[in-house]
Amino acid sequence: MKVAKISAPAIRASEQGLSVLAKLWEQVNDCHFAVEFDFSTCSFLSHTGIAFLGGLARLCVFRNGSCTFAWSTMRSPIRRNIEENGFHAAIQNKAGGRNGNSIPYREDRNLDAENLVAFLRDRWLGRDWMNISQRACDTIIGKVLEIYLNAAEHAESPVGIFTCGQHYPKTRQLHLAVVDFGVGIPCKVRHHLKLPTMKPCAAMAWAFRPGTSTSGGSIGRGMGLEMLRQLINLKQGELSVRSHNGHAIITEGPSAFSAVPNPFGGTIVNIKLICDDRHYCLESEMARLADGNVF
Amino acid sequence: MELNINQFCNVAVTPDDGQRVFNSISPAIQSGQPVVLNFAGVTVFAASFFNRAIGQLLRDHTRAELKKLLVVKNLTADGANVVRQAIDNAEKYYGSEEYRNKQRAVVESIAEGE
Repeated sequence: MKVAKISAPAIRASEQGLSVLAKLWEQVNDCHFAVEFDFSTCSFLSHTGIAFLGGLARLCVFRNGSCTFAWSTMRSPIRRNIEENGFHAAIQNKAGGRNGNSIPYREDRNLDAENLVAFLRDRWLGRDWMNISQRACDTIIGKVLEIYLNAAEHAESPVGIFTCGQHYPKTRQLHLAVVDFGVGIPCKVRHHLKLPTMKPCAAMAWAFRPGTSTSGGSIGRGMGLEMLRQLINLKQGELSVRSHNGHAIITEGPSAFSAVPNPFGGTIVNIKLICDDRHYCLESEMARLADGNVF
Repeated sequence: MELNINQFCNVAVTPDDGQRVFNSISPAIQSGQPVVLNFAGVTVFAASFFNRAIGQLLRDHTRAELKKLLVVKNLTADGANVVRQAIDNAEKYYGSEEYRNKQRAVVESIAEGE
C-alpha cells in the first residue's frame, strides 16, 4: 500500500496553528488510505496539535486506512512532551505519561461523566497552578463539561472526543483543547434552522446565544455555549472555537465571529485561563442557598 | 416524595441522568404530589442535566404550579443559578409558539442580513 508522507510544520496554539491543522486535515482527507506524519520541520507541537493529530490518526483507522508517526523525526523537546502527556503511549494503545506541565492526552469514545470530572479536577484545575476554591473549580468544570456534552450530543463524531492541555509557566497560562471530528457547528446550525446559505459567522453567533440549541424534539435546550461564555468571564480567559468554516473568539469583552477559508470536518475548542496569584472563589460561596425554591 | 440525586449520579451533568430523574418525579408531579430533590453531595452541575430533569416539566406545568410542587435541598448557589437558567429557557421554549416563531424570524433576518 502506498503511504502518503505528510510533513507537519510547527503547530502553535494560535489562529495560525488552527489553519495549519485544517490544512493537515485536508491533506489526510485527500489520501484515503495510509498516512505517515513526518516531523522534521516541526519546531513546536502545541497541545492543540497533539489532540488534533490523535483524533486524525483514529479517523484514518476508522476509514479503514492507517496513520503512523515518524517518531524519530521529532525534535527532543517535542518527543519529551508527548511522552510526558501520554500521547506517545496512547497512539500505540499503551498506558503511559508522567506528571509535568502537561494535562494528559485522552480519548473519549463514550462519555463517562464521573471519570471526566475526576480528570478535569485532578489533572487540569486541581494541580496548584491556579489559586482557586474547590467550589469555583467545580463550577468551571461544570461549564467545561458542556463542551464534551455538546460534542457527544451534537457533533456526530465517529471517533469520539480528544483532549490535551498544557500549563505554560512563563506566560502563566493554562490551556485545554477539546477536539472532535463531527459535522461542525455551522453545518449543524444550518441544518437545524433549514437555512443552507447561512453564513458561518452568523451560525456561530447563533450557537452562542442563550437558549439556542440544535437538539431536535421538543425539549427546551441551549445554554451550553452560553455557559462557556460565563466561564471566560469568571476567569479572565479566552475561549476559541474553530468549527468547520466558522471561528469564534470569546473573551471578557465583545465576542468575535468570523468565517475562515480552510474548513475542516470537526470542532476545536481551546480554553485559556490565566494563572495569577489572586485567590478565586465564587461570590455565592459566601452564601448558601436556603433550602427551598428555585422558581 | 424525596429523591436523593446522588442515588442517580455523583455529578449532575449528563442528559441521560437528568432524564432518569425526570422519569422518577414526573408521575408524582402529574398527580399533584410534592417532590423534594436533595442534592447533598453533588457539587458539579451542567445545564444538560437540568434541561432534562426539570426543564421538561415546563412542557406540561406552569412555573407557578411547579413552584408549589417542586423543592430543592442542599443545592449550592451555583447549582441554583444553572437550574434557574434552565427553567427560564424551558419556560420560554414551551410557553409560547409565538416565541418560537419570533425566534426563527430573528434568526432568518440575521442570516439574510449577513
